[in-house]
Order: sequence, then C-alpha cells, then structure tokens
Amino acid sequence: MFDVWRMISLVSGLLLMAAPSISQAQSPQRVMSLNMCTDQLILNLLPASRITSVTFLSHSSPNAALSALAAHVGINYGTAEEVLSQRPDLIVSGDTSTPTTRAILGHAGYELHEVPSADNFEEIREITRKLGQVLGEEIRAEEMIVRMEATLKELVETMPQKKIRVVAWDGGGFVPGRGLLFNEILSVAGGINIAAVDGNDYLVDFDLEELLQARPDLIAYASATLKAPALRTQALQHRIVRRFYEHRLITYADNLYVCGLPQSAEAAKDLRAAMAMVMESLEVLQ
Amino acid sequence: MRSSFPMIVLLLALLSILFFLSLLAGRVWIPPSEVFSGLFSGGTELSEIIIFELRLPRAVLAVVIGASLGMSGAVLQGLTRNPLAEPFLLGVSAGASLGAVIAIYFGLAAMFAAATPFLGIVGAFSATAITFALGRGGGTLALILAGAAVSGLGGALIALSLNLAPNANAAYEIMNWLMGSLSDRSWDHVFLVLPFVLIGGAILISTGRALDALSLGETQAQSLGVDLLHLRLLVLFGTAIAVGSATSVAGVIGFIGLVAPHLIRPWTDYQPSHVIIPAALAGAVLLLGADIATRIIHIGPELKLGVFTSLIGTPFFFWHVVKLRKTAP
Repeated sequence: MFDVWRMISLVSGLLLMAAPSISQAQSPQRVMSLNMCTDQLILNLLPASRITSVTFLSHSSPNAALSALAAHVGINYGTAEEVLSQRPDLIVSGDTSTPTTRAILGHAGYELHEVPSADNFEEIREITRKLGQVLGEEIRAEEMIVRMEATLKELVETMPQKKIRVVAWDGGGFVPGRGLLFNEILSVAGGINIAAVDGNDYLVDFDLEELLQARPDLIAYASATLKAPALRTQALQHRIVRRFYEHRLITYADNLYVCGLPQSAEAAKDLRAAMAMVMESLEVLQ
Repeated sequence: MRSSFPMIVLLLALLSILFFLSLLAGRVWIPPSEVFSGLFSGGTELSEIIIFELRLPRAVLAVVIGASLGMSGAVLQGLTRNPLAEPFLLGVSAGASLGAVIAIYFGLAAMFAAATPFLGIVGAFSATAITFALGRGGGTLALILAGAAVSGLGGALIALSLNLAPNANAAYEIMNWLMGSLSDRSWDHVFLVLPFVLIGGAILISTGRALDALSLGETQAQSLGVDLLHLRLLVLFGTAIAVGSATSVAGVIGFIGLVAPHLIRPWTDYQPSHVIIPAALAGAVLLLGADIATRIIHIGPELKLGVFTSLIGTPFFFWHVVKLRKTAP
C-alpha cells in the first residue's frame, strides 16, 4: 500500500537538506507566495527583485494591475518540488490552501508564514501589519494601511443617507451572506446585503423566486465570471433577470472581494461609484 | 388484447394533478387561488410572475423531459429486447452531457443558444452508436457493459473539457449541473428544447410497429418486411434527439427511462408499440413528481433532481439485477 507519511517524510528530508540557513536578523530576500491573496500582498510590499515567485493565478488574473505586477516575477503552482528548485528563504501562504505542501515544508523546517483570510477591515489591518513585520517592510505596510484608512474615512464621511439594497446574485445557486468580505465592502460602500440576515452565514442558497420576492435595488455580478464562458454568464440571459434587472446590474472585481487586502477599501469606493451611477440612471429612466 | 386506454386516461389525470401541485411548490408560498390568476394573466404581481415565468415553464419542462426519457427507455428496451436498456445506463446521457459541456465552456452557447442542445444531440448520437456497436450480439451483459464503458469515456472527456476550460468556476458549476435540475429555468429553455423533443418523440413513436415485429425475433421481423438497419438508425436518431436536447437543458437525469416502462408494462399487452405512449406519460409523471419532491424536501440547499431520481431509481435497478440472476440459466 502506498504510504503517504513515508513519502512526506522522504520529501521533507530532501527539503531539509536543501533548506538554506535563515538569519533572523536579515530581511528575507527570496520570498515565494503559494496563495493568490498573499501574492497580492507581497507584490505590493516588496520589490520584484525580492520575490522568487507568485502563483500562476496572479499571472493570469483578470485584474490587470495585479497581472502587470506579477509579470516581473517567477511563477509557481504551489508544489513542494518548486520550493526545492526555487530555494526561497521565506514562503508565504494562506492557512487553508496547498495543505500537503505546507505540511511538508513545516516538517522540513522551512520558514513559512501563513496568512489567514481577512473578512473585514480589522482583519486586513492585522494581516498586513504582521506580514510587513515578517518581510521587514513595516513602513511600507503602514503606508498601505494609512491609505486604506484615508479611503475608509472618506467613505464614512460621504456615506449616502439612503442605503441601497443589493444581492450578489450570479445564478450559481449561492450568494454571500453574513461574515464574508463582500458584506463588509458593501456596507462601507453604502449598501445593504439583503441575503445577510440572521442565520444566513457565509454562502446562502438563493433562487430566482427569492430574488423576485426580495426585490433588491441592484444585483451585483462578479466581473471575472463574465470574461470566460460559463453557465453563470447564461444566468444573466434569464428573462426574469432581463425584465427586472437589465438596468439594475453592477459588476464588481471579484478578486478584491475574495482576498481581504488594503485595496479592498478602493474596491468599496469603486462599488459606491458604480451603485450611484446605476441609481442615477434609473432615476433618469423613471 | 388488453387496451392501454384506461391506463393512459389514469396517467393523464395523475399528470394533471401533479402539474397543478407543481405550480404550488417553491420557496415562496403562493395560495392556490393566486396560482390560477397567475397562470392566465402573465401580469406584474409577484405571484403572477413567479407562476407564469418560473413555475409554469419548470412544470412544462418536467413533463417534456420526463416524457422523452420514458419514451426513449421504452423504445430502447424494445429494440434491444433488454429490460435494463435506458438512456442513462447506455451512456446516452453521458454523451449528451459531454456535448453540452463543450458548448457551454468553449463559448458556442454564448454565440447561439441552440448550440447546447445541438452538441448535446451530437454527443448523445455518438454515445448511442458506440454502445450499440460494442454491445451488439452480446446479450444483456455486453450492452450494459458497453453502456458503462461509454459512460466512463463520457465522464473522462467531460473532466478533460473542464480541465481545459478557460473559466475557473467550470468544475464547480458543471459538477452541480451534472446532478440534474430544473431550477430557475424559463420559457426560453422550453422553446429551445421542445422542437427537438417533438421531432425525437415522433421518430420514436414511428418505430412502434417495427418493434412489435422485432419482439418475435430478428429473422421473423425481417420476414415481415422490417428493415432492421433502418429501424436501428431511427431509434438511434430518435433517442439522440430527444435525450440529447433534454439533457442539455436539465443536466443528467437517470433511471426515469428504466423505471417508467417497467411500471406501466404489466398493465399493457407487452407489445412494444403499446408501451411507448404510456411510458412517456409515466416518465412525465415520475419526473414531475420528483421535481415537486426536490422542492418540498428541505434538508439544506434544494435537492438536485438527478440525485433524487437516481436515489429512487437505483433500488429498482438492484431489484432488476436480482430478478435477472434468479431467471438466468
């Protein structure tokens, strides 16, 4: 029988032999990211010369700014073999993705920093600050947080009186409920997530009948989904959606709603602008 | 000779009752009185929109797709003289799914809506042809094995298509879609699938008399003037068109084609031509009933229709296997 643990021990041993000695006093110079969300953080915190590789997801990201940054650094698919060949002095990963690779690296004594997912701006502050410390880039991390705070302050000060009722509906059968980053960004942008009611934590089952009954002001639709053919793109062609929501549709950059980052404040600003534009055009139509 | 007319009347009555119940089932409760008004108004009230634009096309699709699966099962069983022949077990549904997946994820469906049923039919046709070619002359076991092999190939090619699909959500979406569902469908889906199902159904019904002759044996059928190659081609085309288009709209729905003919056969004279229409009605009743059940059984997210029909149909399949073992020489 195939012995997984024996294999892990073998690979770990190889990695242990190959692991470079890391001086705690020195900032890491060869950083490797195994997660799309941490890719975005390290690409903003470090110069390309200090990044060994980021994930293939960032290289092909629909977010042009991210893929442009990622284009100047190496690529990885989150495997332990790549760690061996790229010889990083720090690996940054999420706390749920690539579990086998993380287990092997931990066993081999590699310097591994796991960044938990951030679902609100408080958690974004924490992970950014912590990663800044680990990378020796505290000042750069604080600058990012300061910019985020300034955007959030501006958003609070200019908060519209009337909240816009929104659902992130894409025909996939589930919509974000309470406790997800979408909810946080939407509420800062001046909207109310109609699916975020008591008992609706995380992803919520939601069909067209419920959409009709809830009568949201707007439907928010993930823009990345629109770029490649899928069943969800067909969902927008449903005659109910065309009849009631053709002029009540806003798109959002879903990668900024999946990963909690300082840039999520900018996403909230963009969302508010998009909501305001659609609501104004509706007033003109009426 | 036993007339199947009373059974047809009974099935139609049952179908009518289920059709109305189907209009009552959903996430939003609508009183029966409002269901009636919504049926004919097509108006602007919430209840009217839900009834006319969501529940009515869903019920029509359940009837149309259930009928095409039931009818296909009856004809396939008649042609192969094999009680286990049905679109799902013979790999027809897997072939149709593959065609639909290619249409959806490589942008053809976005270019023209009929691409999905069209490629679904092409996939179903190819799968049926391979199954028939592989299983021909080998009895029940060879046909079922050929069906399993074609289903396996279809599944592998679907996985490959998803592997190469440009959309990161493809795998999740299609796993969901393969479980079969009629949720959130519209009149557009009805208009898309109905012409194909009608054409496929007409072809399948036209095979009735030849199938009656074939039930006496291939040599006897040929002596009665039946062109067996022509008959096989008709069944191949009819099944592919009916099941391919149905699968492209509803995903994979198994076992309706197996169960429906067996349920009604004891009440007929066992002549294949007298089984086709009742099997279509029984298929419609079964699928409509199953679709209602998925909406009223609350165990979290809506139960997928294909999952439910498989859960109900598999014990029937087991029972048939046990029965075959007892009667096998």
